[in-house]
Amino acid sequence: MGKKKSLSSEEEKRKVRGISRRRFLKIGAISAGSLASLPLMNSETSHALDASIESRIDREVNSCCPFCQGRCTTIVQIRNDRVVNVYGNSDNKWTDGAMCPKGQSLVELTYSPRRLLHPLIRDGKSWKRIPYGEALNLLAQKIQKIKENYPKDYAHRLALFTPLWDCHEAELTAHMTLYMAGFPDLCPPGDVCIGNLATTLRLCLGEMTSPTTINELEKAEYILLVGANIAVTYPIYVQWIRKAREKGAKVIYLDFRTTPTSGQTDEQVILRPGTDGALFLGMIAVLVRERLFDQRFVKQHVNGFKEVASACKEYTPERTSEITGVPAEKVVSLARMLARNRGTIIWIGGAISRYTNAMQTVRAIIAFAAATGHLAGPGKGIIPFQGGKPPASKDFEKRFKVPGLDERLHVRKVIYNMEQGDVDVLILSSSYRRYPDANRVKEAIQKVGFVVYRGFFMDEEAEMAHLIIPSTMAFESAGSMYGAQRQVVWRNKAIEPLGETIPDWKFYTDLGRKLLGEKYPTVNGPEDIYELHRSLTPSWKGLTLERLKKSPTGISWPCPAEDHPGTLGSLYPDNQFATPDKKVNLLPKGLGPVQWTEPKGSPSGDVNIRKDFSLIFTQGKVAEQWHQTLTNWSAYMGQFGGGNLVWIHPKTAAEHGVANGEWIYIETQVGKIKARVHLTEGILPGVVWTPSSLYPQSPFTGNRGMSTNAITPNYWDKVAAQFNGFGCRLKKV
Amino acid sequence: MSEVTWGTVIALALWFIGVSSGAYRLSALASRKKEDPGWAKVGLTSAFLALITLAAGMGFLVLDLRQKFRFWYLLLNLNPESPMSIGVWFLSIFGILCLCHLIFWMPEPWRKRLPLIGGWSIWNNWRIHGYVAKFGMYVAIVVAVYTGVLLAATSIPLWRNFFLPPLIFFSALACGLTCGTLATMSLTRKIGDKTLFLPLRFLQSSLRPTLVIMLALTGGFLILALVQSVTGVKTHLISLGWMGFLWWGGAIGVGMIWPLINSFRAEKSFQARAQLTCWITFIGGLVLRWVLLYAGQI
Amino acid sequence: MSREKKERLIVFYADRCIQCHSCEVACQLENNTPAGIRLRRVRNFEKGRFPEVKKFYISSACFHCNSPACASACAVGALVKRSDGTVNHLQHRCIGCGYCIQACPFKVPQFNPAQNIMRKCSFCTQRIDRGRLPACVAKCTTKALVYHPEGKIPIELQDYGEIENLHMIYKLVHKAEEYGLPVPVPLNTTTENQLWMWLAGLLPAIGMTFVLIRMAQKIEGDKGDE
Ligand SMILES: Nc1nc2c(c(=O)[nH]1)N[C@H]1C(S)=C(S)[C@@H](COP(=O)(O)OP(=O)(O)OC[C@H]3O[C@@H](n4cnc5c(=O)[nH]c(N)nc54)[C@H](O)[C@@H]3O)O[C@H]1N2
Ligand SMILES: Nc1nc2c(c(=O)[nH]1)N[C@H]1C(S)=C(S)[C@@H](COP(=O)(O)OP(=O)(O)OC[C@H]3O[C@@H](n4cnc5c(=O)[nH]c(N)nc54)[C@H](O)[C@@H]3O)O[C@H]1N2
Ligand code: SF4
Ligand code: SF4
Ligand code: SF4
Ligand code: SF4
Ligand code: SF4
Ligand SMILES: [Mo]
Repeated sequence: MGKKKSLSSEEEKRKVRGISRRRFLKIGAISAGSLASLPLMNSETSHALDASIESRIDREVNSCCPFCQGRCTTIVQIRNDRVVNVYGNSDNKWTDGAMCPKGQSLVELTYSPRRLLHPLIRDGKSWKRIPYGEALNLLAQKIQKIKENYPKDYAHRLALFTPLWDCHEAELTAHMTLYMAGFPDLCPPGDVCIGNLATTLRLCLGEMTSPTTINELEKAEYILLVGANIAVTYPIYVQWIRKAREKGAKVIYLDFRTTPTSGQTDEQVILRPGTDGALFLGMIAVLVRERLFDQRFVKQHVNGFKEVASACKEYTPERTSEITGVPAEKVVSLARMLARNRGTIIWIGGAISRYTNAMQTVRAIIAFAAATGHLAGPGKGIIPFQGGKPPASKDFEKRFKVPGLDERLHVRKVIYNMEQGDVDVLILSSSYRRYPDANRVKEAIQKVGFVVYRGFFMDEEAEMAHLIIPSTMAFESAGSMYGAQRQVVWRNKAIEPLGETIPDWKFYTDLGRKLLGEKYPTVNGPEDIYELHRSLTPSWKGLTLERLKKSPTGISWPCPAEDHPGTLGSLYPDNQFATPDKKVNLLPKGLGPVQWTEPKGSPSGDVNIRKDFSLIFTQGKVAEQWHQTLTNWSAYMGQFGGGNLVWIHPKTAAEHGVANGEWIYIETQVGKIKARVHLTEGILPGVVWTPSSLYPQSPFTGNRGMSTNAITPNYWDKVAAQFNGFGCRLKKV
Repeated sequence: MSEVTWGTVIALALWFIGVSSGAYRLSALASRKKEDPGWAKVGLTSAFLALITLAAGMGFLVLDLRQKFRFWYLLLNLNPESPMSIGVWFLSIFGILCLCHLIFWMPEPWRKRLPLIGGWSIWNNWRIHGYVAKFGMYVAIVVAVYTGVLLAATSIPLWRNFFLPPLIFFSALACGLTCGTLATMSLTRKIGDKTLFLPLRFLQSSLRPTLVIMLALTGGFLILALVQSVTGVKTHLISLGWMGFLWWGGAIGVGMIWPLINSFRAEKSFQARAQLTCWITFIGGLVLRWVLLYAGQI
Repeated sequence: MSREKKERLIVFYADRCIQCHSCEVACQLENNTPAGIRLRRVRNFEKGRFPEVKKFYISSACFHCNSPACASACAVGALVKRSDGTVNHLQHRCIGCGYCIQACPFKVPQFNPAQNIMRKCSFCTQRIDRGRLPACVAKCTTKALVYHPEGKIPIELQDYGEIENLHMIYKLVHKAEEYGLPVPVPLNTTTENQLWMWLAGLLPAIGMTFVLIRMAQKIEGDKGDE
């Protein structure tokens, strides 16, 4: 093997000092030559490209990713007041320094040439720049006008579609301002996110937040991922699954697709979409029949188990198998396996929460965990997606709710009001495409007299607006954020806002001042709001700003005192739940009977639908995209997407006469989108799946495509909407 | 594989360099027979040709660099493991030799007009011209072989073939011989001119073995590639896609077999067709390089 | 076969990779390469039939060969093997000739149209020299990429690249071919074959030249006969 000559370390040292005799001549000649030719060379490419980003940074600022609840704390690298790179903070024990591509895309997005940097007002078909002050005055006038025109019933004539805010202070000030001004209709993303799950958790266990944290995984013997596609939606947590497996935990994954998560688990159980509830009821029935359930726990800590047990009787293994497609023996063996062990943790994916039977399903999961006695304690419990929301915001809200402020309307009602022309001002801070039957939502928004958009790019939402007041992106403002491990972290401001972009806390406090004058509290920065909230929230008392700023991992509430280390693990360590009687309540009011029903619009449940739409439609998230709008503007993220690719099993494709790569229409009861066939063995036959993140205006082909919510029928459970499980069909283009 | 790193520009560069080395050799051979007016014409024309095709070849090489203005970095470094580095040094030496060789060939009045060096008496020294010609021949060989080794010493399976360097050398030779003769014929504008009788006869007798060897080397090349089951040979060269068409029809059919048939004709008949024969051999060389380049990379 | 010196290694544990693309973007940001130019690249594969289907991924970059063909090929000395085993690319010297692309048996180097030079993974020497992790390793979400600065790795010899002393080692779950890796690990053919290639060209060339000289002389004689 030809040995390549390598510089010895001695030589290297000398080389650094520039006196290597062997290379002296050469280096001399090169540098002389370089000088001579400088004018010939393109300056972009000639000088010092070797000095890569790392060696050119001026300063580093501790920050935090604004996207998912993983809340990767980061270190932002800055050169000449420009963010050039971002690294995960290696002292963060939840992430161990990792971060995903979405968080990295912010470096590109912040400086995107397509970003909106100035307030714009509609001028016929085009846009005109106006100063921020004027824009704010205009909005304030419109709001005052509502009050003048409808002095008694103005409350529901203004609405705000709120995003997953880039910091908690944004959320708090928005609530402060609108509540104090008398407008309750802030429509949160929870309505299309995990609202069903969070509400069920609150009803059954008392808190709507995550009952345990992922450091408990290592202590569990079994981990059940219920549609929890961790590798795609919380990639940084995969390490925790691995650590648990290394300690002997067995991981079982319920999903109808082979995803990157599949490879990280020991076993995958494939079931029909929307039937998890039936599986859990069936497993409870097995436990009851074989008297495998934890009788002591059930007796001492659970209300309503008897009723659940008797309701489960009809879900025999055979019936369950018929519904779910899981073999009857598997139902039995799974139930036995999950009951007879030291501890099981059930991790519930977000998609479970987005079915019309979501609350039934979540209750069935809670009941199953209760029956096995694995609901609370070390190595036990339930972990939902998007957990960590502080319940205490309620106290804060109360303080700013004017007396007699109406209850907030559900977003369905708000959209209905818009359609009727009963909403005059909409502050749009989210996509409209996050709602089912999105085209209908779009039409409704177009009936609103005055739409203000608080986004980042000239996207479809912006084009529907009358006024655009662009917002800062995460690097440009400070704030606190809460994460899925109930941890709270602080993000420093890394750079000055670009252009005339305004952080949310400032926008809402400015607006509050305009509307309420001196009545509105003086706020000098996000720190003030953080402190205000902390002082009003007992479980956050110990989370002082100094502590947060020093903690790359974040501190998990409850943290009642400054010397309290924060609380990890089970929220209910002594099986004392947060319900009034401290017991698990399996039969709370509003959840209806214990049962499983077909998701609405499912071809399996409804013959009429089956006739025309025999395939089951599903969709979901991809690793490199954050929801519907933001990351679609990143060229880096666009490298990985394939546009509207739709996963189809070859058998299904053969039945429907479509071939790999072919363009087809996916049609549902409410519309059709164009998509390209991607044949894969990794999906249950009879089901199709496609990414939900695509966006028609994206400048990058990989991200460009139709939003799936254009064809999502408008079906809702009690709190949140359904996005999966309804019927569809394929048509050749 | 997917992206073609070296395209038409490199094919042209390799071809021109090959032509240059071949033309130089022709002119060097002619330098021993300056007294024959035909050879003298051939000598001068191909010496000139060697220089301009070399310039063109090196120009195309530089043109293909993504950093064209850094081309001179090549002359600041010698990496004995890099065929390109060796090649570039030899090309530079060859360039100087080509220039000298041309000046040697120049008629006195032309030479006198050259600034500075034109008046040197050395140009009249036949002995030195002979040495330069001889030495240049060997450098020309290295330069021609270099255009083959450049491709062969890579990881591209199709090029990593021991028959490639000689094949490219013989092709360069054929191209240079034909191109030099062709240029002379065109310049004298008297086809079948009796003065060119000797050079044309030489062309016929040298082309014959050259083309036979080329065909044999091509065969060897294909067999070796097939034995090593190199990907792409079957899809691009053996099959009759458009690439296979260029290969069989262009590089081999038109570029080797047709001129070979011509070279077996009677001398008169060959000389009558000399111009065509030259053209097809010459163009065939370009097609050969082009096809090899692309077939290796796609 | 153990390495003599303390040489840098990055080990890829295929069983951990989830195709999250984080390493690819990390590399692009660190190296300032535009979208589409990926010095690290993740590829995905699928095998088997439903429901026993397997999806698996590989994240690969330059192998930092023991005997780097790219450095052999580079005529301007823009590619340098350091004593810590890494193969560095001196961007200010690169003339963008593309020869290293042809020479590399793994097809690693690629042109970056934004800079008009070749780019390849440089093992993030600018970071490791300051005691930091290579960018891709630092941001890998699952620890599928692990950096071993001392060259001591707790893995077995049969892992891809270990015997050949490459500096990116692949601990695979399936066969190497199934990940699109060349088997056996290819050698530096630029150096290995070169001498023979020169000889293969030069010997017949010199022979032919003598023949030509002879021929030219003979033809002269002919004319004399006429
Ligand atoms: N990359 C990325 N990560 C994200 C986000 C993002 O936008 N992009 N958003 C974050 C947010 S806000 C949330 S709420 C979470 C949400 O994360 P999820 O809602 O969990 O994500 P989805 O992709 O919608 O669905 C996850 C998996 O559920 C499966 N699935 C669908 N229906 C069923 C079913 O009925 N039963 C079972 N067992 N499985 C089913 C799908 O095949 C898919 O693999 O992700 C967070 N993480
Ligand atoms: N079909 C389908 N629909 C879905 C889902 C799905 O999986 N499939 N997932 C659902 C889920 S889980 C969720 S959480 C929702 C999310 O849906 P959205 O809430 O719409 O999510 P984003 O795309 O993050 O935010 C949309 C816009 O809000 C604005 N924005 C974001 N952050 C901020 C901020 O901090 N300040 C201000 N002023 N503006 C901001 C920006 O303009 C951004 O483009 O979508 C839901 N809809
Ligand atoms: S995992 Fe979540 S918090 Fe971490 S970088 Fe990605 S999106 Fe941001
Ligand atoms: S893999 Fe290719 S680019 Fe990397 S060191 Fe080896 S030969 Fe050079
Ligand atoms: S492209 Fe650059 S690094 Fe590669 S061989 Fe040419 S000069 Fe060297
Ligand atoms: S070591 Fe650095 S340059 Fe190499 S692949 Fe990783 S991030 Fe890219
Ligand atoms: S970051 Fe790690 S897990 Fe993600 S694709 Fe790269 S190697 Fe795989
Ligand atoms: Mo969500």
